[in-house]
Amino acid sequence: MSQLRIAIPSKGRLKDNAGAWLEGCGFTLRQQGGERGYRAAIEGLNADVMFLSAQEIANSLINGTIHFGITGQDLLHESSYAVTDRFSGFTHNNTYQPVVVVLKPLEFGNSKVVLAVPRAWIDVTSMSDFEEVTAQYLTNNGRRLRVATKYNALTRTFFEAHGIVAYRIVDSVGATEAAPASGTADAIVDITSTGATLEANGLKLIRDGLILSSQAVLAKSLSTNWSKEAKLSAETFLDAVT
Amino acid sequence: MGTSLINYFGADENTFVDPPSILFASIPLELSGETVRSRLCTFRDQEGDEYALRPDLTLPIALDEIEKRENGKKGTDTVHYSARAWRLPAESIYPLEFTQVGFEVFGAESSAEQDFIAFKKVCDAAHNAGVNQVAVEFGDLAVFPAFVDALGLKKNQAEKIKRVFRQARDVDEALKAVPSGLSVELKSKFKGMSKDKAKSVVHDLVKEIASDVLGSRSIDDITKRVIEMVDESGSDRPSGSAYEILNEVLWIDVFPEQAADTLSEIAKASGLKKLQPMIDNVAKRFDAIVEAKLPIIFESTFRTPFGRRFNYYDGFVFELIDIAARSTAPLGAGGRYDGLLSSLSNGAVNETAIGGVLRPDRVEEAC
Repeated sequence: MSQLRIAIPSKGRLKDNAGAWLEGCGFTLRQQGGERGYRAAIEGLNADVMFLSAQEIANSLINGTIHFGITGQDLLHESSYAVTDRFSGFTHNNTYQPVVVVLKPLEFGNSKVVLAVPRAWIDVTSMSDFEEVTAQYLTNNGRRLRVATKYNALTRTFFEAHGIVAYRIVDSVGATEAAPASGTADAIVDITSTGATLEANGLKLIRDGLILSSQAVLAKSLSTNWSKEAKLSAETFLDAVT
Repeated sequence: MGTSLINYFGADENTFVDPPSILFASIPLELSGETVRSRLCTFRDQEGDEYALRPDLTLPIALDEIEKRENGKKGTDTVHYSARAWRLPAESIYPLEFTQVGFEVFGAESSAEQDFIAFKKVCDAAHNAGVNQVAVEFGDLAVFPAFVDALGLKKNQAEKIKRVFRQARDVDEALKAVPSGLSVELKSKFKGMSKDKAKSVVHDLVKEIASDVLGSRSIDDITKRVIEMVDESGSDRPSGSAYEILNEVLWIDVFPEQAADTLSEIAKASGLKKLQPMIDNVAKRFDAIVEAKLPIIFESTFRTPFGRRFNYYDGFVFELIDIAARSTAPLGAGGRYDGLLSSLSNGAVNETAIGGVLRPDRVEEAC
């Protein structure tokens, strides 16, 4: 991997916003193979640009197959315990050597990862309530309340910080917000922007149940190899974007 | 190394057991919660069922013991083992796969004498294998909860303090966190209301919310908690004196022979006479340990919070650390877990349990 490798989201608004942001920094993308191509060149920069899903970008930054990437903070923190991110305020409690560093928040792709519980739980308005309810449920029933989520790592870290241990995670593959209504879970951890979908599914947010305010970020891999050529291009790139 | 330890633990002709290596992942997860998942080696089969490699030997042996008891086994049952276990290490310097050699005693009297016998067995086995001297950390996970109960705190408050203790969180910080509680509006709505009336109001409120999504909780559960919250409002933090007493107990860090006297002084000064039998038990146990003058013990301490993150233990606990201090990881450990069989069997089997274990790799390093 001698050339600088940069990955940007391959679809939707994230792709458009990332393209616009690069354009604003003075880099024009030339997509190869038309709209459906998965490679691009940047005018004036010696770099291999790839269009990947936001999750693949997070994975590629962690395993070092790209140098820079644009992806969501939620995906980075969910995919690795070793992300240095001074912008999100979120941290996994561990001593791992960082493998990715967040360089710059990009102010698009905003979402919040939150805990939501049934609205009918009128006795639950804080994490302290939720802790008490989960503990009482285990004592009284010999089973744990279930939390549906795609964000297993974020949930575990956040719950541990609030002393919540009496729960089980149910892996969610589809519409997480529907899990309590369908009986497969009792609460959820998911992303939301307005809370309207949660409400439509009989759920509510609780006071201190915000796990992470996420947005798209430019991140750098710390586990990749850097050739002289890649380093030179990276300097030009970083001078313009940070 | 492993063989000499097995021979030692099996010397009194108790049964050698070799329990299954693979468990349903739900067993350790239901027992210890999601926090244990980060240490478990798990996998799924073709049908999506999730399994775990045994993280220690105690859990599968306890499951076997439940089966034996359900099939009519009675009295004391002592078993010993030597087998591999798998746990994702907290630090990369530790191995994922390791051998444990140990023993478990089920259905014996839950007493200071049995605590001493179990502890001595682990010390003697290590000494016999060539370990000269160790530092010992002692704890007793029944002490702090006994003080909480003796203080006569409100039920939810007492339960919360005990949970915070077991989670190894700062009790003070946890109690200062966003408190549980109803909104002012709901508090005034339910104040002084009878249970029946409260139940119908909760029903109405849930109806008003126009949602039948309750999860696994019932309206009765919610009502019960609402009534408790009205009764106990504003009581997340105990009164000044109760708080002082708990703080004093929580941070006891003394030589084992001083543990009972220290506890006794706090109990007497606080007028908590009910605690004397528990304190006498602590005294008896540590008197026996001190009198035995076990040559392997170089130094020892008793700390109230020691062992509170250990999943199964609920009474006497100990760890043996190599004083050469190449590692702070214990070469041996053990303790009492009288509640485990009941937890794993939903109360069907209720027998006492105590055990001890050595890590041959660490014993070898310490020799």
